[in-house]
Amino acid sequence: MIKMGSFRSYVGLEEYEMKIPRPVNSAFLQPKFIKGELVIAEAENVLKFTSMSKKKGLSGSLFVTNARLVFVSSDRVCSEDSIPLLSINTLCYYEESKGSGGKKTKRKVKLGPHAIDSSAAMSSTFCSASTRIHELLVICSNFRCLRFSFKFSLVDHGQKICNALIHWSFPKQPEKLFYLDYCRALDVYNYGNPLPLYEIPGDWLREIKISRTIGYRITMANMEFKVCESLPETIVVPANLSDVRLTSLSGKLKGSRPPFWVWGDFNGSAILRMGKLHNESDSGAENQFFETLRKAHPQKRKPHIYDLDSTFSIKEIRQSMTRLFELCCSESLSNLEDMDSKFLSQLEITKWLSWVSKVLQVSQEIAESIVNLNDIIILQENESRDISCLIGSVVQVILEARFRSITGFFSLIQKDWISTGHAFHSNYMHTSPVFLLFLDSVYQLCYQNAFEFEFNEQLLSDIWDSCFDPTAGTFLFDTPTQRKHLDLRKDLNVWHRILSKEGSSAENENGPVGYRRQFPQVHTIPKCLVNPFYKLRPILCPPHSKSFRNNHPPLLCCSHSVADIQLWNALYLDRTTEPIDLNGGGTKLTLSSPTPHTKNMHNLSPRTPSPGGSYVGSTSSSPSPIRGSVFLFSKNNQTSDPESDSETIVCGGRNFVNEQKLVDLLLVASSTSVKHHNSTSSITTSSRRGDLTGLSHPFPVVPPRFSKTGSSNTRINPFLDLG
Amino acid sequence: MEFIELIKAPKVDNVILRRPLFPRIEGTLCVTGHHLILSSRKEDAQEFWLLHRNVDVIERRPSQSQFTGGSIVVKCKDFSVLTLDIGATEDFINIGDSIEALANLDVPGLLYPFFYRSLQPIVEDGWFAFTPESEFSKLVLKTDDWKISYVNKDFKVCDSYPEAVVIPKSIPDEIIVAAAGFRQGGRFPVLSYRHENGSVLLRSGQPLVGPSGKRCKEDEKLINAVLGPGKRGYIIDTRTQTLAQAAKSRGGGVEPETSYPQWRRVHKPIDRHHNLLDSLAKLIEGCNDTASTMDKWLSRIESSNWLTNVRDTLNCACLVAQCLDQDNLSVLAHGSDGTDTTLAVTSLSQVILNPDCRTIRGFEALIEREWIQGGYPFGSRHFHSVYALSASTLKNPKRKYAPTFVLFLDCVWQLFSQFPCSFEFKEQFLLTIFQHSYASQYGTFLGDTVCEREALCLTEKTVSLWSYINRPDIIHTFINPLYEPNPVVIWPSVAPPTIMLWSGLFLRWVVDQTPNEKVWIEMGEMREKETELRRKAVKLRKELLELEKGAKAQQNATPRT
Repeated sequence: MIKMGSFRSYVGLEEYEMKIPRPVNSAFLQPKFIKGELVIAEAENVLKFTSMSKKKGLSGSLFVTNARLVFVSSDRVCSEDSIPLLSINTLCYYEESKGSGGKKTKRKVKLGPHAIDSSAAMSSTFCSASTRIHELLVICSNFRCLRFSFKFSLVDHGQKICNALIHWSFPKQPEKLFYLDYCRALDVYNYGNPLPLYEIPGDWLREIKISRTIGYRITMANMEFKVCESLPETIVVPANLSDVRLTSLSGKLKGSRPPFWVWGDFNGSAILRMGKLHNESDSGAENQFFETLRKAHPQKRKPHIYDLDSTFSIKEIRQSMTRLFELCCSESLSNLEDMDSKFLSQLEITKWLSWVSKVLQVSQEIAESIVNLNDIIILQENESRDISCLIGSVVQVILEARFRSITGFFSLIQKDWISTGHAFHSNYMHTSPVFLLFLDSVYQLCYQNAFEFEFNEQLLSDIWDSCFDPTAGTFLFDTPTQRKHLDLRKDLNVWHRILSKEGSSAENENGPVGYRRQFPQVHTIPKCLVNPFYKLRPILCPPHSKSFRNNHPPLLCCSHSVADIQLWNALYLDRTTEPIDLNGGGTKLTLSSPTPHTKNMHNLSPRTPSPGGSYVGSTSSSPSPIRGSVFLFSKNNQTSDPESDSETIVCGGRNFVNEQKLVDLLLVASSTSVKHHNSTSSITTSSRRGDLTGLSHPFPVVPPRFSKTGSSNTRINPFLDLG
Repeated sequence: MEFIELIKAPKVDNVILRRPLFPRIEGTLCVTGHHLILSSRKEDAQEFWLLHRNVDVIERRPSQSQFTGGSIVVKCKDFSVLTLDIGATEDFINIGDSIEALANLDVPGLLYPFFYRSLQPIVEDGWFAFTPESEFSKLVLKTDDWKISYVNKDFKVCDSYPEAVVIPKSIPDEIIVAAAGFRQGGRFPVLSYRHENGSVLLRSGQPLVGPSGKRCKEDEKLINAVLGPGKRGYIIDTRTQTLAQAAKSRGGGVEPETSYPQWRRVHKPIDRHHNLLDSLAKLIEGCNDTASTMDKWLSRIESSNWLTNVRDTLNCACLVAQCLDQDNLSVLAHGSDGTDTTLAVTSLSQVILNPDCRTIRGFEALIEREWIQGGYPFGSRHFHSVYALSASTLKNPKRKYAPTFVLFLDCVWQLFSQFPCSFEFKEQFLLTIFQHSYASQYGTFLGDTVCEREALCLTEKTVSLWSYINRPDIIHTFINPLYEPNPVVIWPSVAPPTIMLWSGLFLRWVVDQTPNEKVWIEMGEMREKETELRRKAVKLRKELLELEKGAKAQQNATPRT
């Protein structure tokens, strides 16, 4: 059952011979185009490697369109692999100049976020006619890597593809985004939108009502974006702050971003975000505003101001992400092997995990002061469009169970990132390190709180993928002004795409989410995004009941301790190498979960066809674990109370230390009390290495990364000549 | 010797026990012959028991502020660290002396297992559950090539082997005796595991080639008998090539290719003894310091090299497994003594290859067969652990402390975390075995060799750990709710990001493990619910069928009008 292939992690990978592609009538090799898509360049007889060793792959044609890079395989029927142009991060290519006598030189072009201000570099990498491009490595911002070889295609094909990629990847003006072409080409029918987008007063009003906030009002001062272009037309401000004062205050702040409310509760605590003063010495108006807030607070507490610029540096976070990319997306097999021996220290050097830890630390501090002191928190930052989005939203996830449901989480992103003007396009070219940091922080919270989130890490990585989706408008623009002026289709947003995606994530890896089918109006949440451990307790027990408080500490567990932060393997590492197919084996199983335990749940027995197939749902023979029967049962489980059950087991675990003939009973009593004290501790399970990369019983899968240290390799190789 | 001589202060009042993650306990400290007991003597009866045997090292910190008394830091072999605050100086010194003396007690007969009696009736005696005869009888019956030999009767040939060993049928006893003379510690090649395809795994001590390049025809004959004519095999050496060559000067060495033409030698080095202990000590030091910042911690864990050791061991075991399973070749594994890394490799490859070893009983049998009968000197190796290493006063050159068994358990845990559904037991089971291997009321891990164990009459005087674990009410708590028998070979990944730190073991005392446990409980519940619903579905379906049948019968019975 297990093929030799699964053992390739220890032995050489060099055994497969690449076959020379047979010429195929190119008419058959056409991708399925999206509406409004145009082909810009194409290359025939291209090899796409599916392994790092470049020994295995598919042959076919490569297309660059105005939206995607598409590879159509001639070996497998209807096998298409595409990536949105927006997601391309780096191109590496090997070129051979005519004069150089066959010598190959390697060149690297960084697109995307790194190349914003280097238009000069762009022109210098313009491939001259005398060179031929042999190989191309495309590294994407969603941690995928694609390798192509133009060895068998016509001389100038590789060059054409590269040129097209370099020129078309990132349109400077948002007006040139493919999305607009797509909208025009689509039929007029509008599907409507059930999720709040926080562009109209109603959505904000609802927010105030749900949170039962007092002392804040909706203002129309920003109608026609008169006050601030990067904020929605309706914003929420303190009730005793008049529109006139708001306007004059905003004039003194950077980006003319007035203070605005994002979250509050009935005790008077609230989270506000505002920009910094242009001129620090002219702080009169600002102080006046703080005084207004103090007066409005039920206990007349002074607002607590967090200067985020002093704690976080966007520049350093950006560098950190770049290093993370370099670590996770290796350019070659040898790089990967070199890195393997010092993976942890390399990871440490990226500092990514320190940033995650810091975000959690600051957020927890704020959340605690809100719960314990009913503070008003002001997140102040340069233009309050980056770190304040991040901290504000993480705090809300920690505070409110509402934002831990799938739709709640969507609305949180919409409220705190999209509508309040995080500049996805112009500042970050769609690869926002701050947003990735947000997703990673939520991932940590998911991991530390297995029972509290409705979604799993798959949803988080889907959201990251969606940042590059050229057919959904959510993450493509900078400000509400842009969105309004370009007159977007409200229904073509990312949230529909994520919810309407069809079960298997493998399908989605092959293309921007959901081209296949328009979403139905009523969404059922795909099972692969649901955390099987999630309990519906918050809805079942009212917040004031005793059982609610027992089961729900006022705050989410949130540990920023080094031992609890871990690498998000499923996003950062598992995708960098293509799933290495077994010869004749199945495709890679993509499992994902907030905890490795969910993975175990996923593994629960889809192998044996269920006898109760009719109500278990799909009994498809697909190896996809997400169709397992587990999920149907998961929500019926609310009645069980893990607290009471866990005690016996914990005791059983602890008392083996002193397994005494006489004191067994005593110990049960003592460790019960011990445990009681423990439950307040916020430290949670930890394993900083992250979970396994892709191996899982019962489906044999080659680990996506392999350790092949030089020494072991030379020692094992003798097998090969043994015969 | 009486305990009373060692116990200088049997009872001290007003002692405070502090340890991370637990509330402090204040009360009376009692020192008994085997335990340190702290009781709060209150209604809630908080009591804390600690086996002296579990104490690795103590540190005395006289009080700086009050001039009387001080704190005793007790560092345990299970990596926990606790602090006892004692008020009076005299008590402070006496308690320290007593613990130190009792913890280092080196008289086997005085150890706790000899005093412990099981309260529960023993359902199945663990001492006789996994004898070599019962373990190998199936194999011997199934094949013609192997026999159970009593050549080692009364431990005449090799004192670290059991009396019954499995050797090729065609080899007479004289050859064995001669071959044993050529192997370190008399550990002649014996069968460790026979794979279902017929290829076998042997283990032994290093050949005593020596500087002059001696050879031994009998030894060659013995291991060639395994291969059969024309077939080839592998010798896997767990030392580096240089170490192995260097061993020649001390009388050891490796099998020269000229005398063993059918065998091919591969070196897969795994760190041994003090290197391993050193590495674990660094790891534990790093783990206990969770307060350190993010920028230091990871590289600290990495530089301890423990995870590299885990990876090397897995790598080597995988190589053995690959030879046996994929290439159908037989393997002889040895290091220098054949008692440490050799056993880790042979037993780990069995876990990978043999689904039986992934069950609770199978794993117990594996430990009994490979480690206890196989001659791993638990008594010496586990006499001290990582904390004693740094306290130089306790360095005892006679004994080699080493955490090889911990390394093995960690490797098994790595396999478990990569294949959580393929193991019948859960993490707790491994932790229990770990705990008892260092300090226990059971006699299973006492002594260094089978010979020594027989001399101590363990089977009569002590209770076996397996007797306890295999009790139905106990075994139940170790069962993995996700287990589904998986008959295939499990090939693990050894890429660095997949080798994880075993937080359940190394961070147990510094990071709260309850959330993790809760998740497992939840999974168990979900699993139960699933089975229950399935059962219900089957029942309902049957009912439906019967009703349909009944309806049809009725239809047929009532004539149409």
